[in-house]
Amino acid sequence: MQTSVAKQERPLRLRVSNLSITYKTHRGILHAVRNASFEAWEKESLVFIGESGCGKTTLCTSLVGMQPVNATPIGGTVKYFGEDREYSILEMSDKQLAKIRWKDIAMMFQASQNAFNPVILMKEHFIDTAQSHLVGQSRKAILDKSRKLLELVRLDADRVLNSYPHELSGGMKQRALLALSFLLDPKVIIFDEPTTALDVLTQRYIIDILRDLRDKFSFCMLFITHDLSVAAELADTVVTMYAGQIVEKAPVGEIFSNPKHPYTAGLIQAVPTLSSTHEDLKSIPGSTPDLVDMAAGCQFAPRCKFATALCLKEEPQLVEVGPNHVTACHHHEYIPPIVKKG
Amino acid sequence: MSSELCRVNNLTRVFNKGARDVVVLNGLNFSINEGETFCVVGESGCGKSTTGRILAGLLQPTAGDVWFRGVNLSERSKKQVKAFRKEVQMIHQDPYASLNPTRRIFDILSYPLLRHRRGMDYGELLESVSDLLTKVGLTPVEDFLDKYPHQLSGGQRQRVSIARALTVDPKFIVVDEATSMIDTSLKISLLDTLTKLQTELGVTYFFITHDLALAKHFAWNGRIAVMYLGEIVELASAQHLIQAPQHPYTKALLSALPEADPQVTRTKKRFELTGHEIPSLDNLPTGCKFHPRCPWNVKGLCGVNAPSLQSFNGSCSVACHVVHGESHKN
Repeated sequence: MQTSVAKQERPLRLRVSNLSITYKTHRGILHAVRNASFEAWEKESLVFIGESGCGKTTLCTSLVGMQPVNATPIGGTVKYFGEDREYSILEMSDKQLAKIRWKDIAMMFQASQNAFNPVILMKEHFIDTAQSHLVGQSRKAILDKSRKLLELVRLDADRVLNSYPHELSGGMKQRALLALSFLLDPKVIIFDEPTTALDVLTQRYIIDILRDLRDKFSFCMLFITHDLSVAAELADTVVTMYAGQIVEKAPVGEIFSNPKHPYTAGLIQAVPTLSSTHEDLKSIPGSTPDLVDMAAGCQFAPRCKFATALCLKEEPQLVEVGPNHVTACHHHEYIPPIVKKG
Repeated sequence: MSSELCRVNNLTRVFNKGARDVVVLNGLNFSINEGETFCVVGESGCGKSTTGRILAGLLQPTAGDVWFRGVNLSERSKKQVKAFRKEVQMIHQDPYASLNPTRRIFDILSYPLLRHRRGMDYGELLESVSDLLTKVGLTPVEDFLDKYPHQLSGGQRQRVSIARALTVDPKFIVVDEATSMIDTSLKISLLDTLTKLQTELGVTYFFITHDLALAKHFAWNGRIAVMYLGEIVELASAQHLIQAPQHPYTKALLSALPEADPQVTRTKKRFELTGHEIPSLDNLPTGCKFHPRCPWNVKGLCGVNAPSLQSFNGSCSVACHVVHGESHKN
């Protein structure tokens, strides 16, 4: 767990302020992300958790300007701080964005191991990627670097480079993609559920590799998952999202032992673990709110056992409840710490 | 409760891949009692889905028999087949492929009702379908009845699949990774719904998953079988398997599982394997199929003789030479 002092010594990579994104749907305007603000520093790993439809993918795709076409950022700013200058992502044209995507900010989408072109060899993927960003690099130089990266993700480099994507297993493709995402030394890498489709042993393997690589290349990692155990493994800071809003943000050790938002607490109590007993698990009652026709007050109130009349009337704002720990709950002081199991 | 519902003897399944034969299941033996939860875990390609499909009668075994309520599946009369179809249902793994894209949710759920419970009028149908949708948490029901599968998310489709399996009040359900795309909180409440059906109606489950923690939760009073490349390597009661795993593969799986507690998960003791890639089914290792990745591998024994699934200490069954003390290494 890091202190705020340690944080400030490292350069800031991303600053998102008051970002709101809406979708146009046939029913009306859908508020996918509301007023999201966060910062990400070099070497930090920020894990976004929340149920599907909470806006985590919309938020993270907008950081590289790759949100779906019907999504409109209606307010706020996204600043990326590169080596020599800063960029305002939301104001950049597609052409400008194409230059920094993959080179400065790489993004691995959900199930993107299936995005390899099936009719070209793996090595052509590496060469294409490098040549579209760095003009004049020789094939040999690119392949040498690719080989090193593939070895870092513990793959047989020569075999992989000379294979077609279908000749590799899902886990191998995932690792090859990981190697490809490091090819241009990005400063920020966004991972959207990279381990969901994988077996336990492969998942463990990729988690270990990610941790090693981050120590080596000191990139900043934004990680989207709905699997809390992956968050517990990889996060420095955990960000909980609910109904398009960031409702809690805290260092990983703090959030798992002392969550201050009832939704985070509910999520933690719903995950089966090897040490939990059958009776320990509780699901959160109710379902996620409608993001088109939004109710007043706290969006979580209808599912919350701490809710009062105040919650239904007034939307809580993020308040500081500890070092680097913010939560948006009127009644955060009543939420008991998580009782350790076993 | 303890009467036997289903038994497989020496179940073997071979698929043809070009001119070669690929052995996907190799001589499985187990039985499932009525009202029990039987869970199967293992990596992809270990044969867990194939076993489930054979039990649901969707695939024929190459060799060996499946007995259901004392009847051999390959020797059933037409009438017995129809009764079997009503009693045994499967929740498929891929909700993108297993729902007919041209049918509305109402059609998908009402078809089995019309087929197996003739003479229902529209009002009764609507009521049954609405009940089912409520049970799996797809509310408000009116929003879903007229939708097509492509209008739903992966998790919502999986819930339609679950509802479809429940339409005919089955007694035995094969659940193949049915909650993999559903959010944790809802996952637990759906599994609780399935457990409730079990206590109320005595439904038996064959539950396929790769998540051991989930297996432990769902099969709390049942058993877990760990499969590796077409064979069961360990079979024990759920709680025993998690607390005292015997087979090195089970130990590796358990120690690799991340847990939702940063202190626990980052200090967890690992059981390291010597190889990371699962061997190809085309080219299976000789002897114990796990020996190329096994840290306990005994030269001249594990690579030569295949261990059989034997009872160990009376509490579980394990297929491992080292566990059974057939070598001097420990």
